[in-house]
Amino acid sequence: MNGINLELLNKINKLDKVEGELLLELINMLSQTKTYSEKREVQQNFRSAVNKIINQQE
Amino acid sequence: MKILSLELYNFRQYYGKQKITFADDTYQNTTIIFGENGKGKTGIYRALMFAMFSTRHIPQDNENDEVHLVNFLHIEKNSPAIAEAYVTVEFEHEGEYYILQRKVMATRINQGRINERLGSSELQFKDTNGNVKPKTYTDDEEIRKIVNTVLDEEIKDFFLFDAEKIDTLTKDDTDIRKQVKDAILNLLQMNNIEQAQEIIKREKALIEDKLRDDISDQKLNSLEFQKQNIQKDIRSKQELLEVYESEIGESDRTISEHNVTLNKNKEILEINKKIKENKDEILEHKNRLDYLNNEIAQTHFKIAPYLILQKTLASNAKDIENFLGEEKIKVPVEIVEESLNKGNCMVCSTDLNENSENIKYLEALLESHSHSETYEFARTLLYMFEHRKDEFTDEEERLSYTLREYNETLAKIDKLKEDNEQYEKQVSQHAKLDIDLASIEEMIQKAKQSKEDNKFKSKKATEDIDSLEKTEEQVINDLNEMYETQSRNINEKKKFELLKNLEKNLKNISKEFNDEMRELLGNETTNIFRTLIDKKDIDLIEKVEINGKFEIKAIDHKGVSILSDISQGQRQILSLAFITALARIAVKKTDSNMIDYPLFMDSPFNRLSGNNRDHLINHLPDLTAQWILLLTDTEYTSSEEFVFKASGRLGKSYIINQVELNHSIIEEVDLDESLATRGRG
Repeated sequence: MNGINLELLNKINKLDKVEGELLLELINMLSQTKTYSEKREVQQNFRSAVNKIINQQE
Repeated sequence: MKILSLELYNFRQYYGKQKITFADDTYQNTTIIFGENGKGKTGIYRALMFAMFSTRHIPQDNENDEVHLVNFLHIEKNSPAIAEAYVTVEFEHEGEYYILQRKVMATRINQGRINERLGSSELQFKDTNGNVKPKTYTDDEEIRKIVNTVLDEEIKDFFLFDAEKIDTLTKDDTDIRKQVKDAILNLLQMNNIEQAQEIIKREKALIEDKLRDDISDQKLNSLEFQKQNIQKDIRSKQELLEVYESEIGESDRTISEHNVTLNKNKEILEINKKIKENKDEILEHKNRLDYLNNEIAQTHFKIAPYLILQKTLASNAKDIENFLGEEKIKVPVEIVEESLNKGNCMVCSTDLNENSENIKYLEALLESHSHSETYEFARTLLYMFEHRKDEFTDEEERLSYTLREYNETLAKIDKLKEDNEQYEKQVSQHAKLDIDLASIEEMIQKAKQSKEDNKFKSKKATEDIDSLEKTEEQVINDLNEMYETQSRNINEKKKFELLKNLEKNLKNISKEFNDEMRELLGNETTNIFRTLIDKKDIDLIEKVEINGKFEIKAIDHKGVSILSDISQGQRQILSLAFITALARIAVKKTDSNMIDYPLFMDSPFNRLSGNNRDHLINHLPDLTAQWILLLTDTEYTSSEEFVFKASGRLGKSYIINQVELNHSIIEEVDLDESLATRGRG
C-alpha cells in the first residue's frame, strides 16, 4: 500500500509547485496513518508545513 | 506481494509441524492444496489470516462463536500444562522479505473447557541471501502498521477469501455496498483525499477565526451567521438524504427478498399445476385404455377362430383349389339334358347328330354330374375362404394397431406418473414456505411505493442541497472578499489564500479522480469479466459501471441492470473481475497487467460451471502475482486436474491427509502425480 496512485500523482503534479508539494506531503502523511491520534498529528504537521511556506515567502 | 511459505505448529487440525511452500514463480504461480471436507482446508486459510492479521475469526465465522486455534490432540497430550501453537508466514513485497510469527496458548480448564489466549508476535526481515536481519519487531501495533503497508487489513478480504462468500460483493446490500466503497476509497487512495479535504477545511476555519477577529464590520458577522445557517441546513438535508437512500436500499431488499419468495412459491404453484394437468391427462389416457381394451376384446372375439384356424384354413383352401382342378364347366345340368333330348345344343344350336363326338362329350358331362354338387360346395367354400380372409386381415391389422396404441398409452401413463413423483418431491421440499402470495405481492407493492416516495424526496433533497451550496458559495465569496480587503493580518491572509486555493483545487482533483477511477474500474472489470467468463456468456454483460455511490452495476446490451438476474457462479466471476480490476488500478505503477497481490481462495469452484472453471484456470494466473487455491474433491476432479496440468501454470500441489481425528498432515505431491485420483482413492 506504499506510494501514491499514479493517476492521482499526475493530477497533483499539475498544480502550482507550492500547492502540489504541500498536498503531496499531506496525502503521504495520511496514507501512513490509521489511528485518531496519528491523524491529529497530521493536522499539526500540516499546520507547520503551511506556516513554513508562508515564512519562507516572507 | 507474494506469500512464500506458511508453517503451522499444532494449529487447528494440524498436529506437530506442517509447512507449505507456495509457488512464487512468475509463470508457474499457482499452488493447489487439496483436501476433502473437514480435513483442514479452512484451517490453512485461518492460519494465514491469523499470522498476517492476528485475527481469530474469518469472515464465515459468527463473531460470537468460540474459535479454538490450538490443536486439541496437542492440548490433550500436554494437559494440564500450557499447550502452545504458532503460525509463521513468510512473504515478499517490493523486494523486502518478511518473516512473521504469531503464537497462541491453550490450557484445559474446568469441565473440559479450553481457555485460549494470544501469545507473542515476532516480525523479522530477511535479506536477499536469506539471512535474517538482527532487528526483531515484537510490538503488536508496530507489526500491524508494517503489515498494513503491505496489505491493508481493511481490504484483506478482497484478496484472501472464502470464494463461496465472495459473490456477496456484487449483492444489493447496504453493508456490502459500504465494504465495496471502503475498498475502492482505500485502494485508490480516495479516502486520503477526503481526509486531506477535511484537514484543509479545519485549518482554513481556524485562520478564518483569526481574520474575523481583525475585522469589526457588522456585515461580516451577518455573513458568517448566514454561512453557518446554510451549512447547518446542508448537513440536515444531507442527513435526510442518507435516510432516504437507506430507505430506498431497504425497499430494494424487501422487494428482492419477497420476489425470491414469490418466485419460489410461483414455482410451487407451477409445479402443482403441472401435477394436476398430468393427473387429468392420466385420467384421459385411462379412459382411452378402457375403450381400447373393449375394442381389443371384441376384435379378438370376432377373429379369434380365424386366427386360430388361419394356417389350417389356408392349407384347406389350397386342397380345395387342387380338388377343383381345371374344372371349367359352368353350364347347368338341365341345359345338357335338354340338348341331348333335342339332339341340338341349347347353347350354340349345333346339330349334335352331325358329330357323334359332341353327343359323347355331353353324355360325359352328364355322367360327371353326380360330382357337380360337391364342386359347387367346394367353389362356395373357396369363395367364402377368400372373401373372409380379406376381411380377417383387415381386422387383424386393426387389432395390431389397437394393441400398439394400448401399449403407447400405458407408457404415457407411466411417464406422467414418474414426472408427478418428481414434482411431488420438489413440492414437499418447499412445503414449509409461506405461500400467501397475495400478501407477499401486497408487501412488494408497498415497498415499491415507498421506494418511489423516497426517490422523489431524495431528488428534492439533492436539489435543495445544490441550491444551498450555490448560496453558500456566494456567501463564502463575499466573506473571502471581506477578509482580503479588510483584514490587516498579512500572514494569516496569505495562509488563507493558500488554503482557499488548495481547497478549491483539491475539490476539482477529487471529483475528476473519482469520476475517472470509477470509469476505469468499470471498464477494467468489464474486460476482466469477459476474459474469465465462459465464452457462451461473454455477451451477458455489456459493461460494468461503478456509480457515484460506489455500487457495482452490471448492464446488459439493452442498458438494463441485470445484477440480480445473473447466476451465483456468474456473480462470483464478476466479483473476482472487480477485485482484480481494483487491485490492478490501485497498484498501477508499471505497464504490467498483473496485480501485485496474491489471490488466496478457499473453495473457489463450488458454484462455478465446468466451462467457467476451465476459463478461470486458464486465465486467472495471468492476472495475479500468485494464485493459491484450497480445493475439495468435488472441485478438483480429473477434469480440473487435466486443465490445470495442460495450462502449465501449476507450481506446487499439496494434499491434506487425516491420520486420525485432530491430526491432519500436509504432504507435497509431485506435479506429475494425479492428485484428484489420490484424493478420491
